[in-house]
Amino acid sequence: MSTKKITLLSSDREQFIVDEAVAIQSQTIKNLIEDTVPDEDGIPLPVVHSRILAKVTEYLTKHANYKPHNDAAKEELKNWDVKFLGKLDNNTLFDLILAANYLDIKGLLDLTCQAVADLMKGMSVEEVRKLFNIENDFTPEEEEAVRKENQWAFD
Amino acid sequence: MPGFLSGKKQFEESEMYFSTAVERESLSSQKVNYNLNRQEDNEFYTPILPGLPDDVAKYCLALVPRFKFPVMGTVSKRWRSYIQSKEFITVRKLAGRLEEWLYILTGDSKGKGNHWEILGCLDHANQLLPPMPGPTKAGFSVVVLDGNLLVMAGYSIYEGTDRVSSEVYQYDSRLNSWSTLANMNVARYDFASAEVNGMVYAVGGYGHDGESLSSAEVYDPNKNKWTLIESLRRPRRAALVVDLKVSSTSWEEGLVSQLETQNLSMSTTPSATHGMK
Repeated sequence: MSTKKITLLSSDREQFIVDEAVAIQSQTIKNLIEDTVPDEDGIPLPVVHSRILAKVTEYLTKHANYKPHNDAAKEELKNWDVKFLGKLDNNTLFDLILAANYLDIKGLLDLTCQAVADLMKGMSVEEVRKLFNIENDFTPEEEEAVRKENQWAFD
Repeated sequence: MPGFLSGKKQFEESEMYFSTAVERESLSSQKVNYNLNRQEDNEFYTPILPGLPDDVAKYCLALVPRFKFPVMGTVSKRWRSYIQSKEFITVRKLAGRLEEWLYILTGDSKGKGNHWEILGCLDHANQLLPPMPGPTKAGFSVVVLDGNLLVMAGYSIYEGTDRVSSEVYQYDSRLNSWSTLANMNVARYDFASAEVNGMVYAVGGYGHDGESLSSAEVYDPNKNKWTLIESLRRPRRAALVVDLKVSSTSWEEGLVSQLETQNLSMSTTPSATHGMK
């Protein structure tokens, strides 16, 4: 079992030392390891701040070391993911999406995008606009018309 | 899984509910293949979710449960046009969120009209669609186009007289609403129709005086326009429209012209049709 260590370097030059098996869950890091001569300080990840890279490595470490073999284990990993997300504020959530996108970590991207989607559950139109800072570009007449259509809401 | 690596956004507003204020200045100093300004080149550009690249934002929206679509469609024009787009269906499909629905048209008692139901969709019980606009009709045709249900032409009985219609209604399966599309060139009923390569074909049927029609027309959803195309060689009814080739059978002679034996997709006046959203 290889225990080769990889050093990751955040945008603010903080080092994160992880097992190679942990790091290469990121396709981007995997490619960087294969294709580039490493910086002596580590693999530079210039768009990921240490505050976010800490979260990313926390996620990757859990998922690398935890291969669920049965339903109970899968359930536990799912619960861990829920707890992991529960600790994030909305700004961090968006930053984590950007990092997961850049680092090409499908599991983390799915998890965080789903979290954004779930934020909208139970929200009104106004609450969604406020949460995401989206400008209402309907004229009052247009908005009235689309709202009328919504009177047949789904269950 | 689509690659989400294109186009990172940078934005300046300070009062964001989601800011991406993490060390932005470090980005420009690094030789990273990120095109920061691509989306800002267009001054009319508005992001779907401020702070996220659009392809990631589109993925987020595609993960929202479908019962929220009508609310999402009211948030902004940008959201509305995305939710109504073909792309939205594609992204939901890639995310494994596409649901297959069976639409059933049922007649109400004593011939008092009819209504559409959605059958057994996942955890939901059967649902009623909002009432179809226009007078109660028969002899219309139905196709599914980009996740929407199109109900075309047919005839209605109004104050004892038959009225043949050229009206076309569309049910938007994402926003759960009906709208009116462009009328057909020829009012007809009991005709054949099918969706082929994103266009809708309507062929033959009967006209105002019950005469057999040989005309055929095609609907382009991008232009919202029906265009007459080359007519059939003789009037037909009971036509079949098959994938890639439009064919029809002759009612009188029982002849089949150009009939493909595979991929039969539609017969006249179907009572159920299969859609996606």
